[in-house]
Amino acid sequence: MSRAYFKSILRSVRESLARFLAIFAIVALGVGFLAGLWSTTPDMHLSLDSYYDQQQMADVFIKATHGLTEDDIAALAGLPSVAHLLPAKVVDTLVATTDNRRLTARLYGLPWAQLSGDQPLPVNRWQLVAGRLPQTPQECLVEQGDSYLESLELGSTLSIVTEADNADLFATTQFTVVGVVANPFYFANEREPSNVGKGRLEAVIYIADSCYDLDLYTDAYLTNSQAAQLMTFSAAYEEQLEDFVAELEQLGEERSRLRYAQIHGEGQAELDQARADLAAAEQEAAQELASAWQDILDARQELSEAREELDRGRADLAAARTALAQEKAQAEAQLAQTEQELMQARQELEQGEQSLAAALEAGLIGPEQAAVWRQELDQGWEQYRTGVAALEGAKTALAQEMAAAEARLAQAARQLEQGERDYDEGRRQLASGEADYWQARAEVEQELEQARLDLEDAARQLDELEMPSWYVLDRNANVSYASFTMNTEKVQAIATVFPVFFMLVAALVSLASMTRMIEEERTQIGIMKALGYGRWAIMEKYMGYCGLASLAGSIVGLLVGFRYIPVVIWQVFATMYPLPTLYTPFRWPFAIVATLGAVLLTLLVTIYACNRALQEKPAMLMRPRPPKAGKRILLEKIKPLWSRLSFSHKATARNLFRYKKHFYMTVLGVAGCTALLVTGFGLQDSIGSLGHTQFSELMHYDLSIDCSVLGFTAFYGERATAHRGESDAPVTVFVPHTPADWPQFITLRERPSGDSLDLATYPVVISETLARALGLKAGDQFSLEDSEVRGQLCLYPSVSLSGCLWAGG
Amino acid sequence: MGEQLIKAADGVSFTIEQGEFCVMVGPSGAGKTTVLNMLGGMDTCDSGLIRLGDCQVSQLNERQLTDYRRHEVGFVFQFYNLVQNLTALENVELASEICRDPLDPKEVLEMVGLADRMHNFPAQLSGGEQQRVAIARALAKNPKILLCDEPTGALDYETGKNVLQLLQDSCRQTGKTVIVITHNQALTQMADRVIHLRNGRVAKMECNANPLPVERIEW
Repeated sequence: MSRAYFKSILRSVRESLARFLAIFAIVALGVGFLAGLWSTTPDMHLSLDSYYDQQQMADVFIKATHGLTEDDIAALAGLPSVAHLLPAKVVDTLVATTDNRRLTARLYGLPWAQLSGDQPLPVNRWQLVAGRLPQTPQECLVEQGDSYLESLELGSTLSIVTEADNADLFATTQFTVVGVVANPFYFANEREPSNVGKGRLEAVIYIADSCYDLDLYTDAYLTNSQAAQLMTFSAAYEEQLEDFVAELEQLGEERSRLRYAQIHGEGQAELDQARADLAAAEQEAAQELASAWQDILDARQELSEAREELDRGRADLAAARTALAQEKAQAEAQLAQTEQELMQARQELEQGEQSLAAALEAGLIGPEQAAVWRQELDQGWEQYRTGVAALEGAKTALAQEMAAAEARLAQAARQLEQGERDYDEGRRQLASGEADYWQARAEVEQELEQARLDLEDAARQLDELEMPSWYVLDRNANVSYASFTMNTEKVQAIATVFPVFFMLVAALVSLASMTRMIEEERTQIGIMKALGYGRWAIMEKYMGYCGLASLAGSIVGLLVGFRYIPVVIWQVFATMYPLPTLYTPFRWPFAIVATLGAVLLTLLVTIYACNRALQEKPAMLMRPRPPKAGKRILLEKIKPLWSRLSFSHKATARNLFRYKKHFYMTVLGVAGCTALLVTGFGLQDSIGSLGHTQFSELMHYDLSIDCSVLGFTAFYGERATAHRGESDAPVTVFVPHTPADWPQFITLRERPSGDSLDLATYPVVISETLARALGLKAGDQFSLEDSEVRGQLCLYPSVSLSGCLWAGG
Repeated sequence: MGEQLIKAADGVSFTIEQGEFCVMVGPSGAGKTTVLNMLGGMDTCDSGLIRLGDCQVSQLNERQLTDYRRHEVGFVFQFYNLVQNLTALENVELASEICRDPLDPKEVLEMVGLADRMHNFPAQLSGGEQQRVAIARALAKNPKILLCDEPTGALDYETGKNVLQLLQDSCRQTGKTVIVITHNQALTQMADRVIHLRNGRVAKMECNANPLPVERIEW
């Protein structure tokens, strides 16, 4: 290229600066967007990676179904591929706040040294956002709040809500919040699922592992020794991690076998002990029952003896009464006889007196005789009086004796009564003792039976003990990471589509500018040609011009795009991912590709624009461009219409067809814009109405309750696998209890007709998604695996919305 | 637009000797410019033969035509057609830089009397000066033949005379063949050879045994 020619190019730039700037700007914009959008995802990845590296984010975390023992941890630490390791006790539970709200929280029990900051955390290093680190085990740290996690105030108290299943899990249940941290594990403002409470985490709490009353660790967080220097999203990292996960899974299997043996052994020992205890208890119970029974038998014996004695006593008493009466009668008869005799003796004595008196009167007897008689009589009287006195004495004695005997008898009778009462009491006691015995016996037997059942249960559980297993999860299982990845992929998707438009626009603008420029410089091109400049030499100018513009534009675009586009997108995500720094390095491959693309594109466009002018003869170029010939148009044939048009309208109508290129460009441009607008509005409209259709027209229920009470459930639901030929698809099966009621809760519609489907008419209805997945048509057959629904399902002509399968009846 | 074939030049046959100052004259639309353009390789003819020395101009392809224009022909246009964003000197250089055996641009400009104005842009020059720059540009290429299309058409009488003088001088001094197109019959007096064109045909060709110097021509 000649010197003067080069100057003319430079001067062209200066003179048509606006045009140059237009190309420059549109290329800068295009390349800036291209490079910026391209580099956004790598920049975001790089930034997350460096954040992860800084915070020692775990590459892998392990969740063990039966916990991790110290030995497991030691085995993990012993692997050369493990760089850092943090065992943790992690449980999701409900905690109550000071103001008595219940939050679903994840409690991390961490070693005290690391929690209190005496030692740095080996992995998942958090940053203290507020407050301080704990100084006593009653203090805790909480994850900083976001849309999902509560912002807990420093100094507030959290207490674990103990329930049956976690009652003995915690040694300490009340904690004071002293610090707020940001853990790389929870960096994203995302919903973390949980299996307690509302189903999503509302707090993440870090406590000392000594607050757990648990010998085992539930989780372990690991970093791989090789992975830190790899980009977390790179294929190399994925590969490294795949190997690492495989290695850990293998170890997991080994350790799980040991763990199984251990748990099984412990269980067996406990079971054996329990069996022995049960046997001992059974024996003891049998003994005790036997001795109790013996006591009852003894008591019965005693009672019957007592009965006999009482009866005997009664008989004795009766005999004694009889004997006493006899004795009394005898004694009274004797006394009566004695009295008789005494009466007779008195009569005899009175007769003797009379006789004496008569004899004396009659004197039949001498005094002497009379004296003798008298003496005899006196003697008789004396005897009589003695006899009377003796009788009286005997009578008194008898009376006394009788009274005493009566008293004795009464006493005996009383004793007998008492005995009788005692006996009754004894009997009652015996009866109640026996009742007690039977009751106790039943109770003991029931207890033993229960113990036996428990034991059997335990034995069965031990038999059914599942093989423990480790879930070795990589970062993809981390909600924050997955969310971040997903969003960067979205950006990536935008980055692949969007810049194309910008580049297209850049090409169009360049084309328009260059076409116009060449049009303007037609004569000059003619001069150049006339002077003997070749095609390429002439084109060089315009290529140089455009190339310069697009190169300069590219450079500025790159500098700005690399620096600012990722920042802008980053800001959009900032509320979701509050990461510290965005790294925006200059990415040479992108820069080269984008620049080359832009420059080549504009150059091609320039060549295209030049070509027509250059094909013309210099003589033609020297002349002003002949205007396009006017043409008659179809409209003219409609005379009444044409004749009514004004001249300017006629000219316009003809120009429409005269400048076809302009016409087509306008039509295409308007069509494109309209299409974009309609697409946009259409998308907005369909997305907007999706919720309404789903929740107002199709799903009428407000609440569904998982309930184990039989007969309460309105439908039977399960997850199963639909199978047909080679294809499988996971499905949710709904079997309504009363198909007739089903439409009250969910409407099934055929698509696209929108006709409602009745389960009574179509016993099996599947979703469109499933139909597509398995290639099913109405009338086809498929089967369900892992399902309680048996048999082949024959499909009736029906396809409906949403990812489920409904079966009637 | 070619609904009707228009023949701009048909049956134009003439020969010009080397070193001659030839004037081609005719009314507007006679085909003067077309003939000149074909001679200069700026346009092509559908049939016929154009020869410059040993060179069969009419047989040249696009690329050869470019070379032909570059090395063999110097053009002077009615409206000067200078590159507006280059100075007088640069305009001359633009032409001379791509030639095999160019003259020194400065010397040529001095020769045409523009020693003082060589760093001015065309817009800063008068019409006559611009046309002189155009002539200098054509001369600097050191072509075999100088083709001038109405070189005085846009100039006033005096300036036009100067320009014609310049052309005649360069013909006489450097021995170049010069062909000048004009509709001004007066100019025929200064030519060695005069070709009259009418309706795309050579109406008459005459040779002037004693061409007049420019200063003696009046119109």
